[in-house]
Parts: sequence; structure tokens; C-alpha cells
Amino acid sequence: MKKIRILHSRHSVGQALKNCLHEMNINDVDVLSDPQELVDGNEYYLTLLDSVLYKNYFPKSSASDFSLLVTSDEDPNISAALNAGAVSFINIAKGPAQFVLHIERMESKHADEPSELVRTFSDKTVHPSLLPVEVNNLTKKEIEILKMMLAGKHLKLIASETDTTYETVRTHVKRVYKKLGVMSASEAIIKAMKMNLDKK
Amino acid sequence: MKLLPDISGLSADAQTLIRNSYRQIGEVGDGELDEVNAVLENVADLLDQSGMHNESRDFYNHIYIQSNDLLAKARLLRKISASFNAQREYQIAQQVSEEALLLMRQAHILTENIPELFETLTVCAYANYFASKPKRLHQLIAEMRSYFPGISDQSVRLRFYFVVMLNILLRNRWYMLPEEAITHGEFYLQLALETKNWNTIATAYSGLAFCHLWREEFEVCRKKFEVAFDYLQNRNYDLLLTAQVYTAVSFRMQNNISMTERWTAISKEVAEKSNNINYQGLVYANLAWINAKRNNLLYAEEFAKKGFEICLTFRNPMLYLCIFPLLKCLLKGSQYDDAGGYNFLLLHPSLKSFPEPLNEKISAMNAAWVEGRNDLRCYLEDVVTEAELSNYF
Repeated sequence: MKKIRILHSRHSVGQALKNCLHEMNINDVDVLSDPQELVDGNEYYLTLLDSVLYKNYFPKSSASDFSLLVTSDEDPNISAALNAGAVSFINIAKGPAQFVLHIERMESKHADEPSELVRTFSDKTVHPSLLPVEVNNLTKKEIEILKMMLAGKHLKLIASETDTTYETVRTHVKRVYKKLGVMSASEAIIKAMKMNLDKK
Repeated sequence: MKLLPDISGLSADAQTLIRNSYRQIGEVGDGELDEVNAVLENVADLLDQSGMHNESRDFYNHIYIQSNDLLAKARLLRKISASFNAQREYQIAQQVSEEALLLMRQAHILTENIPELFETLTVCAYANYFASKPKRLHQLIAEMRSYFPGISDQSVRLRFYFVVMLNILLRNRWYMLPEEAITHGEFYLQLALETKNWNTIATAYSGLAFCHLWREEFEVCRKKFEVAFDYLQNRNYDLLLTAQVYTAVSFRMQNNISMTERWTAISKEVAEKSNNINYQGLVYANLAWINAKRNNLLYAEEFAKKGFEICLTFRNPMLYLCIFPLLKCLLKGSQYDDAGGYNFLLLHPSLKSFPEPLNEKISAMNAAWVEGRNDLRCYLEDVVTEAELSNYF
């Protein structure tokens, strides 16, 4: 599954756009603020590029489609970017509506063809929605701690019940977050519920 | 042989019903796969009705794998989708229901299959409401209308009317609903009362209350929720939470801190008891508002961020319930750039809409923020003040 990346000179703007995508259930998004971090990435199908960084980016144009993020329809980089192959420009000064519309179009362009879906379900395979969420290589200890978090126990209580220090529990929790690809306890708990960890 | 899961946590009646149903496998001869599957599907339905959704889906999947009949497969996917809907897993529910519909369309639809197609469309429409897809919801309802005259089952007809109500909410983005919303809600209620089913009636009263809330008719809204509470009697925690949380929101919109606090405490207990994370997000949002109003800004910020994270994960269209208290905290903490990011989201087309004066302030703040201006404080102050004036904060 290909991802979207946002390259914006201001991290807060990049993060807000990422939240917008999250609201559209698009979660595979990377936010970058330094053009040096940009490499040709086949794993991306779309790069959303801040006009301020356009010139730094352009020499490193990658395989993915790119759209220019502007704050005015009069932005001087628009025509140059479109001539250079940008699929569109998106004005975010009026809010996320135009941005959302553009992403919806791009998403539908990359969606599975219906014939593909029919083929998938004609197979005698388990429906994808029913496949268990991977336990993501969690260790026995990490699963134990995640289960306790799921039961609503705070880290100090977990430390006392597992006879370890608070710092050790924190280290385990950080590893759990990394392996699950989450940023917070709430997200980890939601993932754990999806894994049916409370029933294992 | 598909084994029965542990059902010891269910009521004695439910256990008996499920065990009796499961025992019927013994009465079916070897090699009668269709009949065995029919028994298993009945067991799965009972498990799902008892709230054992993961287990019921396990059964549906077991049958799905063995079946060669497109219509049967479509029906199983429809049930799987409904089960995900019941667990508020709307994204998966929406995908699965669309797939069920796709399979139905591959099969040769006879007149006798129209009710099943209609049910699939209903489940799909329901999931599309929660996935905030107004255009798709509208399409589905248009198709359902064409089949509606041929539907005689009153419970199926009622579900259609409920979906129509959802369409009105989504089309108006939960803001200043037209009179049509109330007329339709009252009509739905009259039909629901005829069923004498406590859950259907409570759903109708809650739906009507919800419509009154977004017309800012708070007194009527709460009266309708009160009747829903009488019917619910601490059953159906999901609906109970909806009614409790939005009763709190109705008080919040009247700037009544003590009553908001009272209903937030009640809903917090139920959300925790039923492990309903989505509603815990809204409970945090209301706790953030209460603390922000009392100038306990550290607590307010913590609650607002927790609520925001959960509401965003569940794609809750009422994200504003977390964002306005958070904007107040960020204003006090001079974190204007961060506030700009949250303010930006308020203009998202899938979220609840606001009165025009408030929209103008939010848009002005957004324009200043994306340009990176250094006078964001004034714009942010305007947003927070206007939100207070219009009862959104």
C-alpha cells in the first residue's frame, strides 16, 4: 500500500494536514519539514509540497505524483510547478475543503478496481476484515503490559504488579508503541482491542 | 465442526437459546452442508444479538469460506458489516457492506431477493453515515426508495426511515436542521411506538432528541432524551451513552457548568463500564470544557488532547467539542501556531458545521495562520470569543 508524504516548511501545518487525512481514514502519511529528508520514494503515490520549498524540492523530483500547497491563487510557483508535472495546486488558506476534495480524487484513482474485488471474494479465502490484526512481534512481556493497559491500569500500578521499576515499564511501553506504530496509550489500547488481546 | 465459544458470561436465557440452537446440528445428517451452515448461521445471529460480535463474525466467516452461493456470501458479509457497525467499527463496516452490495449485484437478483438487497443497502447506508460520506448515502437512499414499495417487513421499513433521518443530519452537517428533520423524527417515533419494542422506541426518542439538539431546542431535546432513558432502563449502553453525552452537550450549549458536570460524570461511568472508547473521547471533551470554563487550564488541556486523539481516531464529526476548549488553553499559553493547526480542522467538510459569524472568525484565523503571520493572537481571541457567544464554547 503506497503512502502520502507531506513536505511543509512548518511542521504545525504538515501535522494539521496529516490530521485532516486521518479524519478521512488515510493513516499512512509521513510529514517532513526538511527538503534534505526527501529521497526518491517508490513507497509514496503522492507528495504534497509546500510552495515555499518548491525550488529546493524540484531538482529531486521523485516517482510519485506531486501537488503544490499554496496559500494564494496568485502564488508565483503555481505555473512553474504545473509545467513541471504537478498534478494540481491546493490552496489551504480557505481551510481543508479543497485539500479533502483533491485527496478523495487521488484516492479513487488509486483504489482497487471492482473486478479485483470480485476476484478476491470469489476465492475461498478468509475475508480481509476478519483477519486478526498482527501482534506485531510483541514479546511476552510487552503483551502482558499491553493487556494490563487495556485493563485500565496505569504504569505505576503495572510496575508494582509485575515487580519491575516504573522506568522499565516505560521502556517496554515505548517499544510497544513503536512496534504497533502508535503514538499514545489510547491508540495502543484501540489496537490491542482490535487484536482481541482482552480475550486472549 | 465449529465449536461453540464460551458463552458463560451471557444471561441464562441467552445461553439456553444459543445451546438449543447449536444442538440442532446433531439432528442434521452428515454431508448436509447447507443445513449445518443454516444452523451455524442461526447460532451466529444469536451470538451477535447477545453482543458477542467477534465470536459471531468467526461463525459467519466459517460459513462464508464454505459457501459457493453468491447471495449467501453477500448476506454473510452484510451480517458481518452490521456486526462491525454495532461495535462502532464504521470504516470496516462501510468497506464490508460495499463489498456485500457488490456481490449482490453479481448475483441474479430475483423478486424474492429484493428484501435481502434492501437490507444490504440499509446496512451500507448506515455505515456510510458514520463514515461521513453524504453523496454515497444519498445514492443508496435513492436506490432504496425504488425498492421500498415491495418491502412489507415493518422492522425493515423502520430501519429505512432511520437511515433517512441520518441522511438529514449528514446533509445539514448537524447544524440548524430544517423542520423536515422533526417531522420525519415524529413520524418515525409513531411507527416505533407501534412496535412496542423498548429498544426501537428508545432509538426513536433519542433520534428525535438529537434532531432538536442541532436545532438548538434544548428543553425539548432533553425531554425526549428523558423518555428514552425511561425506556432504556440501563440497557443498550451504546444508546444510553449517546443520550447521556448529548444531554451533557445540551447543557454545555447553555453554558450550564454544573449540569454539564453532572451528566458528564454519569456518562463517564457508563463509558468506562462498557469500555466504549469512542464515547470516552466525548466524555473527555466535556471534561475539558468544564475545566476550561473554571479556568483549570492544565486539566482542560490534558482532557481536550486526550479527547481529540480519540475523536480523531474514531473520525467523530463532533471534534469541535474537544477543539474549542483546547483553543482557549492554547490562547492562554500563547501557543498560537499549534492553535492554528486545530483551528484548521474545524473547517473540515466532514465535521459539524457552525453559525456563519463563527465560521468567519475561524476562516480569518486560518488565513492568517497558513500565511505564517505574527498577529495570530488577535485572530485566536476572536475565534474563542465568538465560540463563547454562539454557545459552542
